[in-house]
Amino acid sequence: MSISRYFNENQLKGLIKTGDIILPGTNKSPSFSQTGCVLYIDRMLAYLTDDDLNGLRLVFGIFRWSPKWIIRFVLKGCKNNQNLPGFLGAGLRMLELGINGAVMSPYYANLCSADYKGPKVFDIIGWDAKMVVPDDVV
Amino acid sequence: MNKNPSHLYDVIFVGAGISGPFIAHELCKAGIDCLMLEAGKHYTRKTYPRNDLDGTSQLYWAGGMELGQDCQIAFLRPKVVGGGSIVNQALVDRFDDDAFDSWRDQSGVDFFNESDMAPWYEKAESEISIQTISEAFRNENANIFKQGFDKLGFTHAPLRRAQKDCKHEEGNCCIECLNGCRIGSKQSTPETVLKEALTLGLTLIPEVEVVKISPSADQVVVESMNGLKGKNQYRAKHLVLAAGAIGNSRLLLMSGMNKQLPAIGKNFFCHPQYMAFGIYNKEIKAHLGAFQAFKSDDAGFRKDGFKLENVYAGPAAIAILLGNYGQAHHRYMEKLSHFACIEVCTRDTTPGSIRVKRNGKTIIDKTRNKEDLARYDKGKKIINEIFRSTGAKEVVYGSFGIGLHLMGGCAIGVNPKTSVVDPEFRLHGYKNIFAADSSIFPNAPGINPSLTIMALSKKAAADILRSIQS
Repeated sequence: MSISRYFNENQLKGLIKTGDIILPGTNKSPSFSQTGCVLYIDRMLAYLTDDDLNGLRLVFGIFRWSPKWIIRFVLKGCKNNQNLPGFLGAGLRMLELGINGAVMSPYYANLCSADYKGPKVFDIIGWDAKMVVPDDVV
Repeated sequence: MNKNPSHLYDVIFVGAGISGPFIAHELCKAGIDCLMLEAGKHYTRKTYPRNDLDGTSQLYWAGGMELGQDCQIAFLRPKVVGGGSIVNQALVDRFDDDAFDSWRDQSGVDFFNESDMAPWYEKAESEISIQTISEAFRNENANIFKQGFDKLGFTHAPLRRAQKDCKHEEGNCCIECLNGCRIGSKQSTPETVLKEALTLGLTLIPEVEVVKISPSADQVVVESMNGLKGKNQYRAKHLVLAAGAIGNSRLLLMSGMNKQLPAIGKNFFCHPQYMAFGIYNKEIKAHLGAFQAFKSDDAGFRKDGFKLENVYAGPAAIAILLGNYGQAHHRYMEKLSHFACIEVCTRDTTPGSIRVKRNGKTIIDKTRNKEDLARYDKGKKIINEIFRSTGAKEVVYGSFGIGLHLMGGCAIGVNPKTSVVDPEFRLHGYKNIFAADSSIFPNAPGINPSLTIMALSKKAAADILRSIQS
């Protein structure tokens, strides 16, 4: 059974592949795929507009079959053209925000699969914000 | 669901953010029969989202992915009962004469001055608890802001925050409240005026998007979409538009009212905000406790069209703002607890516009001219000085701007050719349609808008009540 109502298997594989380029992991941090945070991607996709959702489907569907160097080239293009005017600049910035949103949001929400036994992302980045709430709000 | 489609309400409100509840509260106190329709969900202290992923997705239009045509600024437009008062950083400042002078010059509306607005600010302030952060609870992010300002000789002031009892002594962190305050300290409308209006008989229907209004001489028909449940109609003698700059403009455009009111959707502003991070050798832990305690209060900054704010954000937002990837990205995020943060909030001078395409898609044209970018650059330079003077080893600037204060599109003014709302908060030429939220702002004031929306709504409520009772 697919883990997503919004992405098909190819699009999910494209997202994971891109996620591991953006967040490959270090000796401290897990990679995007290691955390299993992709399991929660629908919690973001469910609220996107049809246009944005279809755009991400297209991008990750293409990335599924693209060599990693092409994905890196696209990401670099997005990063280096932040002030490019016109349609091309706008397109690259939209692409960058969409891709980064899909990868960073689940990863930095501290979500992981049941199989993941490594340190959690919040512990690695030292995020320990808390709110002491009354029992009836828990 | 509309249980009684033939029911004629006295007033229907479109939008349950800040303005709608402030007006509804006054009308309900006078026994007026009010219905409030809101596109977002009605969360409670128990149900607010708990992380960035869910918060951004669930509390904003388009899952927090609303962009202008040039994709230089991301607009964060709240979609939740309580609107901006749920997701904002609870800053409540009165406007100064500089803001009101520019509004009066542009709109021709006489009451835009500090003394005429003072009683309405007082009424608004009486509905909420306003506090500053005591020295004991300031965190290191706030201390760095203060130290930098003191060293460089700039003037700062304590932030006035709409909060009641944050219980910082228990270790509570204000950053947790950006997706809704689970202890009810933040003075959002669901914790204050909306709660009271509901007890006074206001009917609130969340998760209903109003798509068209059809005004006639004695009533307004409101058409809505309710997800899979389909279309519905509601009727009222009066309508209050309270869906914000983009929401109100979009609704009026979709209703074809720009033929009579050509200024609909024009003069859109957003105070583009740019976060910057100072990275220190020591731990800062900017997310802990009360991260916001100060604001810039420097006459030079005001003259130069920007202010600096003592802010922070959740880890996903910071990660996206860093704009990098790979091992380099991890190395930055692994040092997140060493980050301090200051934001430049610019008073934008380029009017944007809001359009609706035939397929119903909203288009936001909002560019930045040389002056807007120069204002950002001046603020950025001072942030760099503040961070460097307090020991930062590196300064990183966010990769894009954020528009949080969405204003204009239905500007108030005396001239129906250049404005949409008259000085009595009525749409020009429509005796029974009103608006008093941020959509009526004539230009960018350069000051956080929440308190002024409340004050204008208080004033509008008095005008609307007079109109209904006459």
